[in-house]
Parts: sequence; C-alpha cells; structure tokens
Amino acid sequence: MTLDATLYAVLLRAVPDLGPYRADAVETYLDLRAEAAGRGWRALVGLFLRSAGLALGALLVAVWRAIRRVVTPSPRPPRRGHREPFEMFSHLVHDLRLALRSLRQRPGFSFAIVAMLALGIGSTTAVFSVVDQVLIQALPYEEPDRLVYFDEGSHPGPLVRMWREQLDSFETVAVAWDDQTRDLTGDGPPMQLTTVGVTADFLPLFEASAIHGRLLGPNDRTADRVAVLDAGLWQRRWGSDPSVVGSTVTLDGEPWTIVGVMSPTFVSPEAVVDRGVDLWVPIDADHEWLEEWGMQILSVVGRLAPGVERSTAQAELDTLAAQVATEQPIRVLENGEPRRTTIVDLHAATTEEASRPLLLLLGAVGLMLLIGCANVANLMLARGQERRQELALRSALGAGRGRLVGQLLTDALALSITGGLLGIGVAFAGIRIFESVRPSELPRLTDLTIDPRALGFALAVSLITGLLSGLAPAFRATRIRATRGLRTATGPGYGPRSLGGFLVVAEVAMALILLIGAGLFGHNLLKLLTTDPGFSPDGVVRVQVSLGEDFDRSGRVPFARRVLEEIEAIPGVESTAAGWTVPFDFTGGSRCCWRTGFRTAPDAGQIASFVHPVTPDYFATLGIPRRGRDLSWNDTGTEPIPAILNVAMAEALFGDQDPVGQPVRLGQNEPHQLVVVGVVEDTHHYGLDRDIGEAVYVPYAAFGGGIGPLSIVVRFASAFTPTSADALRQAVWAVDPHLPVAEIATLPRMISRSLGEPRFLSMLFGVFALLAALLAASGIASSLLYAVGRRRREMGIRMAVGARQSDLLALVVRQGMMLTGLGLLIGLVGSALLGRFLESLIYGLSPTDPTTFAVVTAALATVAFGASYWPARIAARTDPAITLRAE
Amino acid sequence: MPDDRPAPPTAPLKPRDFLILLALAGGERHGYGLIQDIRELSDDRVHMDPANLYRALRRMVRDGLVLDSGRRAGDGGAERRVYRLSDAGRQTAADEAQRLERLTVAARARRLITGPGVTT
Repeated sequence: MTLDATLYAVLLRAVPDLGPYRADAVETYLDLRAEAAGRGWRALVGLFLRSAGLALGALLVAVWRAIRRVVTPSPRPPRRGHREPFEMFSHLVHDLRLALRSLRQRPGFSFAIVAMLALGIGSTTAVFSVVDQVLIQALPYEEPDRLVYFDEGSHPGPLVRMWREQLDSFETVAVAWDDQTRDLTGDGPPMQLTTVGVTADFLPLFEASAIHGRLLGPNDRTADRVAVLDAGLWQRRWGSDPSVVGSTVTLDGEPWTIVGVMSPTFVSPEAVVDRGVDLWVPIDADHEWLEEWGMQILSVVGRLAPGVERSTAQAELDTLAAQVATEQPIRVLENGEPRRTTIVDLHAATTEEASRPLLLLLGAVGLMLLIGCANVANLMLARGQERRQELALRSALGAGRGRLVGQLLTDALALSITGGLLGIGVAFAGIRIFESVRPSELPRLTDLTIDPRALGFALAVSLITGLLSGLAPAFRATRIRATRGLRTATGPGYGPRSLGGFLVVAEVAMALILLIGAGLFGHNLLKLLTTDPGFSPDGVVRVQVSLGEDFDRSGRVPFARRVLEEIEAIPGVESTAAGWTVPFDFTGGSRCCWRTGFRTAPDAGQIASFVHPVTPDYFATLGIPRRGRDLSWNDTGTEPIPAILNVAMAEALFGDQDPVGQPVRLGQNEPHQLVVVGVVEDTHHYGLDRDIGEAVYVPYAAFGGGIGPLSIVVRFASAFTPTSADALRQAVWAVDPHLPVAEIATLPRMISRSLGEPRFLSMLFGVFALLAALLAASGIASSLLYAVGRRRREMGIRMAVGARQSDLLALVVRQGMMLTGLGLLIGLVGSALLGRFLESLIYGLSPTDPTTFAVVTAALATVAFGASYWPARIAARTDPAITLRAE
Repeated sequence: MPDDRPAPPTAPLKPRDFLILLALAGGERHGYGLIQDIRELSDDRVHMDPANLYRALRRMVRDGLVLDSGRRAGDGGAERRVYRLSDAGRQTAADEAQRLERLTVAARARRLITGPGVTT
C-alpha cells in the first residue's frame, strides 16, 4: 500500500462509528486514488487532503461530543437514531467522570496525594531540565559530533603547527590562544579585556556570525591590529552603538580597529576557551613563545574529515607523537613513552566535569519521587480497601476484573496527571531557585527554561507515576472472591510479606540511601569548612593586575616593587607582597602556571612541582610559618638563586635531612642552580579539596618578569572597607594611571567561593533527603494508622480480655519498627554499594564513612519510631466497649 | 420478519442518506461506485469521502434501509463489498422523493422555478 493510503488507514482508526467497514473505506480510498492518479499529482494530493481532513473533522466532532458527555452532569436521554459513542471512549469517559467524582468526595485524600505528586514530579522535571540542557542536548553547532577537542589542555606552538599541516583525518584544526588580557583605555575607566587570539578557521567552526561588520579573516594578522567585539561588552561599554565598527580603540596603549561585533547568539566553546571572552583577535603566530617546544600555550579544537572515525584520527595523532618524540626529548615521558595527546568529543569535554554531580542529583530527586509513588500507592491500597464493598458489588453485577482495574487505574492516573500539571508550576519555581544557588562552574547554562522537552518529560513522568502508584493497588483491591459474600473482600495487610509492608520497607530503604548521601555531602562540606588552609586568610585582601604586553621582562620587577611600596604607605596596611598567583586564585579544575622538574644533582631523580615567584614578605603577609630567611629584592638572578621549599617538597627531595643550604636544580632545558634558604609550612594553594603537593618559592626579582599577571596580597590591620579598596586602586594608579585593576577580593571570600560546588550539592541533597524522610515517615504513620483501624476489633477484644494499654502500644510499635528495621538494613546495603558514585565528589572522606552511616541511620530510626508511636497511641486509646459494639 | 424493522423516520432524511439511497435505487453498488454515482446525481457538487460514506452506510445497514450483499469481484477485478437497497430503504427513499417533489411543485406554483406544473 502506498504511503498516503497507509496514513489514511491510520487516521481512520481514530474515526468513530466505522466498525467493520474501516477496511472497506480504505479500499474505496484506493479506488478513488487510482482514478485520481490518472489526473495527475495535484488530484492525488487534493484527494488525500480532502479525505484526511474530513476524517479528522469527524474525529474532532466525536471527541467534542465525548467531552460534553463528561462535563454534563446528567446524561441526555437517548434520541431515536442517535449515535452510540465510540466503544473505548465510552469506558474512558465513564471512568474519568467516576474518578473526578470520587476525588471530589475525598478532598483531603486527593489533596495530599496531588500535593505529594506535584512536589515529586515538579522537582524531577526541574532537575531533568538542567540535566537536559547541560548534559544531554547536543552542542549548538553544525554537526557537533564531528567536533573534537585536543586534550591535556594546552599545547606547544611547533607541535600545533605540525598538526595543522600534516593531519589528514581532520577537515579543520583550529587554534586559540586563550588567557590573554588587553587593557582598554580611553572613553571611560580603564578596563581589562579578556582576549583570545584565534586562527581564521576557529570561529566558523562554532557558527559564529557578526551582527555588525565582519569576523576575522584569513588575511588578518596580529600586526593589522584588528579585533572583533563580544556582543555583551559592546552593549555595556558602547551602548550597542553600531558606529563602533571601523572605529579605533586603545588597547595596551596602541590603536586597534574594531572590525566587527559578534552576534549575541554565539555560544563560545567553553571547553576550549574560558567564558566571558570580550575580544577576539588574530592569533599572534610569530610570537617567540610559539617556537618553544616547552611552552604549553595553545588550545586546539578540530573537525574530523567526513567519514573519519575518532579512532582513526587518534591513531594518526599517536603516530605523529611517536615521530616527534624521537626528535624532541621534551616530548618524551619519564617512562620513555612518547607524550600523547588524546582527542575527546567536544561535547564530552564540555560536560564531563558536570556530569557526575548532575546525574547524582537526578538520581536523588528520582528516588524522592519513587518514595512519593510508594506513599501514594499505600494510600490507594487503603482506599481500595475502603471501597471493597462497592467493588464487590460491581463484580457481582458482571464487571470484569479488567474493567475494575481500569477504573482504579483511571483514578490513579487522574491524580497523577493533576499532580503533574501542578508539578509544572513547581518546576518553574524550582528552576528559579536553582538559578540562584547554582555554582558558577556549571557549563552551558545560559538561559535555563522549562522547554517542550521538559514538559514532555513531566507528562511521561506523570503517566508512569500514575501507573506505578495505581497498578499494584488496583490489582490488589480487585482480588474479590464474590462467592464468599459481599462482606469478605480480601484486603491488604501490613505484615512484612504483604504489599503494604513491602511499600513501607522500600520507602525506608530509599529514604536512608538519600539521607546517607546527603549526610556524606554535609560531612564533606563540614570537613572542608574546618580544614586549615595553611595560612591566615582573615584580614587579607587580594588585588589582581596584569602588567601586559607593553611591559617587558625587565620593566615588570621594578614596577611591582613600586606598586608594593605605594600600597605599604596606605594607613592601615600591615604588610603587602605579590606573586604570580596566590592561594585560591585558581580552584576547581584549573591550576596555573609554572610547573617543572627539580632535582638535587644532575644525575638524581626529578620531582615535578609548581614554582611560585614571590616578593619579600609574601609569607608574612599570608601568615605562613617560615623557617630560615626570606627572599629579597636583591636576589636578582645570580646563581645559586635562593629558593624556599614547602615541607612536602623538602621531604620529597631531602627526606629527614635539613634542606637549608642544599643545592637544587630547576628545570631541564636550561637548568638554574638554586640553593635552599628556608622552609615554609604546606598550604592549600589550589583549593581545600586538592592535595597540597610540592611547591618551590623563588624570588620575584629573579623570575617574576616572565609573565604579566600579578596577584598582590595586602594584610590590613583594621576592617576592609570600600575606602580601603579605593585606596588600593589609587596606589596602583599612582604608579601607572592606565593600568586596569581587576577584581579586589578578600581571601576569606575567595575560600568560600571555592566551596561553591560542595555547598550546592549538600544543600540540594539535603533538601531532597529531608523531604524523602518526611515522606517515608508519613508513609509509616499512615499505613500503621490504617492497619490499626482495620484491627480495631482485634484490639477491642484484646483489651476486653485484659491486655494493658502498653501491650497494645508495643504491638503496633513493634510492627512499625520491624518494617523500618528491614528497610534500614536494605538501605545500608544499598548505600554501601552505591557509595562509589560519590567518591570523586567527597574529598578525604570514605563513601562508607562509619560515622555518617551511624548518625544518619540512628536519626531515621528515631523518626520512624516517632511515626510508629503516634498510631500506636491511637490504638492504645481504643475503648473496647465502643469498638466491639461498632462491629 | 414482520415488525423488527424500525419505523421509517418521520423527520426528513439527511441529504447524504437520501443520495446514497437514490444511488442504490439504480442497483447494487460498491463504495467507489456509490461515490461516483453521487457525484453525478449532484451535478458534481457532492464529493463524498470514504469515511463519511461508510459511517452512513453502517448506520443505514443497522437501521435496515440498506443491505450488505457481501464481497463481490468488481469490474476492476478486485473484490469489493457491495450494497443494495432493502424494501424498507426503497420505501423510505420513495417517500422522501415524493416529499421533495411536492416541494418542487410548490416552488413552481410560486414562480420560483419554471417548468411543467400546475398552473392556477
């Protein structure tokens, strides 16, 4: 059959009243089609549209009639010759009306369920939205699966040149020189612009376009001094004035031409260049640093040639790496292997770090939803028990079990879809909350919204939730043995082997898993907050400046010294110093800047370490305990150059021996001879959650001029106020009025910011876990309450024959705690097994940390005890006389 | 046999139903044939689509106005379901045709249309 005929046949399924003639209708359509074919394709199209259109119209009329039947309070009297409704519709319609009516009859019940489901479905949808937009959705570029990132961070110029020239597996190999700054002066306060130098083929890979002017082209050289402006900066600084294109601005003291403005819809590739790029310029291909095999500077991204697999490209890269290793000893690793570069799918590179915490969150909120479902199922079980007479009656009157199950399922679905609709509102609110608490490191979240995919997800979750909550109770409730009379429909019990008991056990287990997860994150956060950073952050402020390109090596050191002298003169300043980086300048994934090997003798083994050029008083300003002498401005490079080691490095190089006075060689290519003059305590330079690692401090006077960025630390005797911040800026400008002063931050604030992700995870997990615990507790309470209600007669008898109140109490509590105990056991095992997923996110804490496990389990057990105690008290208050009379 | 047929409806037949009955009055038809016939009878103004045709047919079969003659090989060779008029259907169609004729006569009498008719 042809496509249109098949389509027509499918459409006809939805048209009511056709009955057995549906096949004939399709045949007639085929006949008409044969005729129309003779008249040309226009006739064919016309036939299809007309036929399909009329079929759809018939369907809509039938649906409209069905809706009216639902909404109308009483059925209209049948007219002679009226159409009978579409069979399946009539059942559904009937069940829906019953469902809505029974919901209205029990408003408390319905409200509780709808509220629980709204909360669960809404939170799950909100988290899903985030996961979808960050992890799942493809990158917004053309053919994103052919884009790959050259991993291991930055690469040396000569190697990158080889790649661009020799690699056949790639259609494009594009390069970016990230991490640059240019100082913008004139027309306003001096500003430091984040600049990226790129090859001409870089921006087109990411579908960049200019809304004014043009992008960089293959003929643009650095010497031409052309630049493309970011849309955000254009709006902020130039008020979106298009005349900025073609105009000249002063960057680093020199005139540059703005040739274009980037479109605001451009999504910068976050795995390759940092966020917040202000300026795109042609890459400085002739820079001396790009001739060095030892300088890792460039970020590389490529597009695979059509049809080429990543594995093929990787193989080509590895062959090249082996070839290079024979010519460049610096490209050989310690173990003799050539230094390889891995190519990674760009999407994976962008999302990798965020994937674990986000997926964990999704799992957590999913567990919470499951607990909610279990609660709802429990409530529906109880409700089914209440309706057993009604159900038995209907069964006796001939309703098949399928019909009854269908009706109860419709009840559950009506609740879950209502919950889902309200949940969408919750999801919107959840998104707002998420926006305000999320850590800044999350990639790709420009505007977080609830989009149609999320809505579809919410709908699907609502349906599944309804099925999950409703199916088992529906089957349970309709297990009627009508032969034993209408009064003896079987119902759910709450022993460990019953459905109700199973649900409670499951709830407790899942709640425990969530609580332990939250407990671990919380414990981790606590540990981090109480970790000694290795210095005294209180009262210390950090100022960043960049001594850019118009300073040369020899100019930077005297400049830094003068700035520090100006700062020292500010009243209230106890001491000040500077370095390339200070602690907590770089946290999270990144570390900067100079890392090389150290050895004690030419033939000794080398230890790799970060090197920190620092000025005198660095350790005093930061409050790092020091032994030996400090570095000074006079240490300008005459070898042996004084150096200070931290304890870790001292132990690594010299063991128990006193390192002071010992020689050390720095670097491989042109080794410098150093001598150890002091030892300092270890500090957490790159974050509280990173290993301390070895460090070597060298004099700024000798090595500091090598790069531009300077991090100045200032210890204030009194409180730090905006006035003090101004004074700092003025001190810098006193030396050079055109130097932009970037962020001024207090060190405690920087430390706090570095804890953004652990704090975020603890908070969200904590919220979900708490809600889960509440749900589980209410589940225990409601099921026990219900069981107590069912066993009233038994309770009454027991009391009548002499049982004491405390016996009844114990009876109920024991039942509750038995279920809880089983649940806790399963939860403990589950937590132990799932713990490994948390490993990378908790630092220094075992995922099976006994303290956390013990504390959380005890807490949940207590809550469960309370939840059991309350129904028990109600049971104990039964007056046997009343109970027995009522039966 | 006797009174298990529904009484003929006193309200006028829907035009669609009348056209179908009228077409069937010309003999047995299958679906496609009915559509063609109806096109002709209505001066190419009514193009019925299969869905509506068969819904109407199903209803009329249920009401006893049309009979399902089973599947028969048509002139194209393919088998198609064929319908014919029942006695009740024939009667109903005839009643309707007469009702329409009375209307036509009245229209002529009021000079709405010209043609053979009673002149006063």
